[in-house]
Amino acid sequence: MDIEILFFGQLTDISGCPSVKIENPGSTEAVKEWLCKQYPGLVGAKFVMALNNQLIVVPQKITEPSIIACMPPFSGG
Amino acid sequence: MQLKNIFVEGAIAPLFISDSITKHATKTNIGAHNIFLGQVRADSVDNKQVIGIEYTSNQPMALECMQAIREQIFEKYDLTCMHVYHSLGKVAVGELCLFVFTSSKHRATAINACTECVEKIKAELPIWGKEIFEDESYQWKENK
Repeated sequence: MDIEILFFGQLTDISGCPSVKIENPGSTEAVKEWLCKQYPGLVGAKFVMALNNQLIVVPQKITEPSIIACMPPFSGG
Repeated sequence: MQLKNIFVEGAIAPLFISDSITKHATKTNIGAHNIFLGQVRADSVDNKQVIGIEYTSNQPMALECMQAIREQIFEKYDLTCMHVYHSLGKVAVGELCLFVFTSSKHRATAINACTECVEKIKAELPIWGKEIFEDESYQWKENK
């Protein structure tokens, strides 16, 4: 089962792409670990993550095909 | 539930704003409108001038967040109506990128609701602005 990871704002400068698909590593924490290994520029970068449009406040298990959004501080308006 | 779209491709036209005002003439229980307009500023950074901002968003999430903001505002304030539009893509310096329009019986309600809505939009909606300079370099906007 795959999950899709989306990058927004300045994070796209680090990832070099708007999204990637990976095999579900099982939890939001594991996704974050994978991301920091794959894109070392993300280590120390300021961003929040959302699982299926819900901000991740506490680590969660991922049990279904999901979309994870990685989002730097918002700057709309 | 159908989420209300707030996004406009490119700048928000002043004519669109005057049309929105005109449409309210039939709502005669309204006694006060308040409008906030965000305009792209020609900031100067290290002697380079910003010529525009390119906006991107996590759109499905932004529309869900906006729906929640709308519900909070209507719960707190006795508004007749509220309209919100935000640009996506490129908006040149001097053009409008945000339009928030609140209407109520009396002014304090419309003014306070509009201010709170603008603050929430800036803090809570997943939207990003990329400031483009005249030499085509860029920096990511930070909200103050």
